[in-house]
Amino acid sequence: VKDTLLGAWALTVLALALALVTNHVRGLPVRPFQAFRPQPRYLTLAEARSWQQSGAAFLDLRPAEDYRQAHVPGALSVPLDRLAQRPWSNLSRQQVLVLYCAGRDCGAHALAAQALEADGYHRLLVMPDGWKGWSQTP
Amino acid sequence: VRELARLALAGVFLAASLPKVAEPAAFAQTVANYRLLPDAAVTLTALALPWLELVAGVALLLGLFSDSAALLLALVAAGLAAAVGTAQARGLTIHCGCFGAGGDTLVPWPGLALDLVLLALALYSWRAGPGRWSLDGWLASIESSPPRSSSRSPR
Repeated sequence: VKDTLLGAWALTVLALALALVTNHVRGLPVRPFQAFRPQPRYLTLAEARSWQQSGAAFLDLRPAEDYRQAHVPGALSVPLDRLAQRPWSNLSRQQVLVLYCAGRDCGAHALAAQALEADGYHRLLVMPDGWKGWSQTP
Repeated sequence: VRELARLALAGVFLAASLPKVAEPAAFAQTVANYRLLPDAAVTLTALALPWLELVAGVALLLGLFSDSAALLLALVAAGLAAAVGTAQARGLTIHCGCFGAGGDTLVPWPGLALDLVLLALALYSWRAGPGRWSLDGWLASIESSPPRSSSRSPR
């Protein structure tokens, strides 16, 4: 039994070492000694409307001009060229944030999510259908 | 029979480990979905568990450190059975993640049954030993064979 336990310990150490070394060599975005951060979850339009009624804050990632013309009621304008100014700084870090831009072809979510996560905002949701989907759905 | 049990166990765990080794970030999300571990432990678990399955699977396939590998896989199978069972009991609708991220939504009894079969196989392999057709068996046969007498006689 002693040899079995010793061998099990050796195999465990070997597996852990391989995991850490290969993760480091491959440069994967998995940081073993940091707490897990879930990826932003994608919402359907119905879910997004439900979150709006629940008090989630919407961040509009489109250019300011587009935002001025129309936007989700209550949304905060966060055009990508203003990410560095952190226009969300008045929001609580416990607040659920729903990110959206023009539509499905827009890739602004990843950049905005990265900046928000760096600021300690981790309750991020994405409305991938964007303003186009929102405005076309009653 | 014990060789078959050992090889079947090794095959299942090798097949299960490779997709998870390839996509640790996706597997971390799967582990987090079970809501059993604190966030601080999720990433390291998602990184280490597939490698543990892989290393123990290879050891079992070769029949080297077979007892230790079978014991480790028994613990892993017991942990997975507990995770799947409690996920069902808590009413979570999540992917099993048994063979990597994605796949079908968690199905209670097949997933749990597979883990319990693996647990039984691992315990059997642990108790039965590696068998003759294994590196452990080969090494044991070398150790137990009588030493050859030298052809030269001492002067």
